[in-house]
Amino acid sequence: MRKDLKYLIFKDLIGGLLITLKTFFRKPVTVQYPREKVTLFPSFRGRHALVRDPETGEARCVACLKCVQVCPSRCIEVKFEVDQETGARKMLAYNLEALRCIYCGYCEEVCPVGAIVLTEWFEYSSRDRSGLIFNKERLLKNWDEFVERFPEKVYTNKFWNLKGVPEVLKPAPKREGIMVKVRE
Amino acid sequence: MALSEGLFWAIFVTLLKIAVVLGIVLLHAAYTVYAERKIIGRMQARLGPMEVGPYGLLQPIADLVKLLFKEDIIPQEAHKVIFQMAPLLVLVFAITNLSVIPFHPSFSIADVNLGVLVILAFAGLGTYGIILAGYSSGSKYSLLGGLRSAAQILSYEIPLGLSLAGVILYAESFRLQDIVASQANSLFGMNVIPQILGFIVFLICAFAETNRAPFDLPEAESELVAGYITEYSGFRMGIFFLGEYISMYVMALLISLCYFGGWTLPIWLTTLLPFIKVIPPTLILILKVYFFIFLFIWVRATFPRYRFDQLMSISWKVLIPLALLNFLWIAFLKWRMLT
Amino acid sequence: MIERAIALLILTGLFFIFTLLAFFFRHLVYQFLCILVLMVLQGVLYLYLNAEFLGAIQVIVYAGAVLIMFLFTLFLFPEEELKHLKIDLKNLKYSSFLPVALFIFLLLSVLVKGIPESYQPRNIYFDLKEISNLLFNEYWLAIFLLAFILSFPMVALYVFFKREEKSGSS
Repeated sequence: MRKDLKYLIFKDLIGGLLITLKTFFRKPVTVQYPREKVTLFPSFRGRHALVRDPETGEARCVACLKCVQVCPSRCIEVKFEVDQETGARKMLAYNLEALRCIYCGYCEEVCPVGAIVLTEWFEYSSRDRSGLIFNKERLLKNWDEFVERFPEKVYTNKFWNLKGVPEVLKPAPKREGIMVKVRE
Repeated sequence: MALSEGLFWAIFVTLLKIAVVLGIVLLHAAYTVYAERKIIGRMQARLGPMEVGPYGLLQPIADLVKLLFKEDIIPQEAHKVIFQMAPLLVLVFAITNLSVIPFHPSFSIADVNLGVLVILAFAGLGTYGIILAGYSSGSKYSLLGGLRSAAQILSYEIPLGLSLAGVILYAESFRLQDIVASQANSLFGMNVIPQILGFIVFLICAFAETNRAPFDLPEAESELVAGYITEYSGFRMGIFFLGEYISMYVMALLISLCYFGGWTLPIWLTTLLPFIKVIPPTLILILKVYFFIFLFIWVRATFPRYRFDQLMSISWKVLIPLALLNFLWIAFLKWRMLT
Repeated sequence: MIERAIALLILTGLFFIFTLLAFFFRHLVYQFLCILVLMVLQGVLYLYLNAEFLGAIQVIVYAGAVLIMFLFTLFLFPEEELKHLKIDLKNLKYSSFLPVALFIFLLLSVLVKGIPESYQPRNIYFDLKEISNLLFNEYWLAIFLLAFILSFPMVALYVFFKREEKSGSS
């Protein structure tokens, strides 16, 4: 009987109408993208870059191949040579296929020296596939383009760190969080 | 024997009236599309069209230009003549309804004694546009959409007519001007108060007659692609939409005239708020019509589509008995008033 | 007056054209459309006779509702069965002979007998109501015969279908 009464006075229908009316007077959530931009969270994972060391002007990479191993989609390819005298590795080529990347961020977490990072730069595209296969020079250029946004500040990203690992177990360059000096 | 001068004058005045009404209504139809997109957008916490002009105000013009310059595709399997004629049928029968509707106590294109019946007749004929569009496209989706629409309009025309019968009985006239006048003179001021049942039935039928959500079964995109307009493109599709929006306006006008007193305000309202009398009569009618257009859009933003068997059972099992009940109640009321 | 006469002429012409078209179209749906137009024209004819209510009801019930049922039935057939209808012109000739002959007979009788003085000749040619008044009052026998003979095709159709049914069952 009560159900019938509910039916008769259109309780459900009017309730539904009121909800849409309430939303009608709410502020829309739309962001008008090219004119307004979304404020990105610091953990945002965008275009790849190789951090340019401000002292040497070169990539920090030590060719440990950890990123190659950890990458789920196997989009990173690193070529290196071993110095016969010291036994130190030297990175020769660093190719990253952004088309295959799933932006999981494992590479930047696992990197012991903080060389490969995913920047907060999301507006990039290419007319052909080769434009999205980054080599070493391109990755370094990506970094330069990214840091241009912070001309005076020192940029730190606490998310470029391995999660759940005690501080003492972390490699030395990562222990205090990566401080990227942008300008001397 | 020359045609009399009076006839020429009458034709000239009628043409002028038609031009005025058509101009206003077409502009309204174009901007209703904009209003619909905007309102539904806001109801879904979006912005709606914003790009063309300030706040997207030029969007209807951009749409029109786009539709005009699109290719007019006629499918190979189509019956060419019927295919080209069907959208025009829809539009013509929608527009013809406007000719008998009074917009002001002394302004209507044709002052017909049977205004309500003429509207019902043309609403019934408008179905042919849809069903023939469905048939002539030579596509199964179109055919099913057309058949659905015909069945729907056929079964909803009956409660629509029956609920209007109550109004006609109350006003003792088929003429829309008389219906409005009888409401202004009555105790309640509006037909909606004694005939709330008939009003609800009429409102639901108006949604179904104009193929609007939640009764837009003929164009259910999840089942029938786009129903009877699947094969149409360019301006022919635009004409279908134009017809739909104009018939929406006709229904909104009919509701305001038959149930909400048209351009008059109830006496209890004017005694309560005397300053309200200043509003010109046409503006009152227009405000009422705008409210119902908003309601059409509001309902579309809110309710999901009915299933086809539900649609049919609502009409035959619920609305027709309710309309008959309303008719009996009005007959009783009329009898009490006369004795 | 002349406007009414022109309107009547156009109306009659449309009736004639669409009746013929209904015969000569090869496709059932097109034939149906002609019937639809005829139904609407009938509504207009009622309007012409100052029977507005009847006209509106004619359009609502016959053109709006009953014919849609016909169309529904047509749509249930496959497309191949709807088109390329065979028209037997010989049959048409025979079936149309009687009504046409009777119509000519009626016309001749009007011409021979002449129009009585009580009817103003001005009105007779322009007003459908006057014409029907004249025909039903002065030539009732001919009209009655015409109606009687026009009912023959219906009987013939019934017999035809009965025979077809019998031959189909046996």
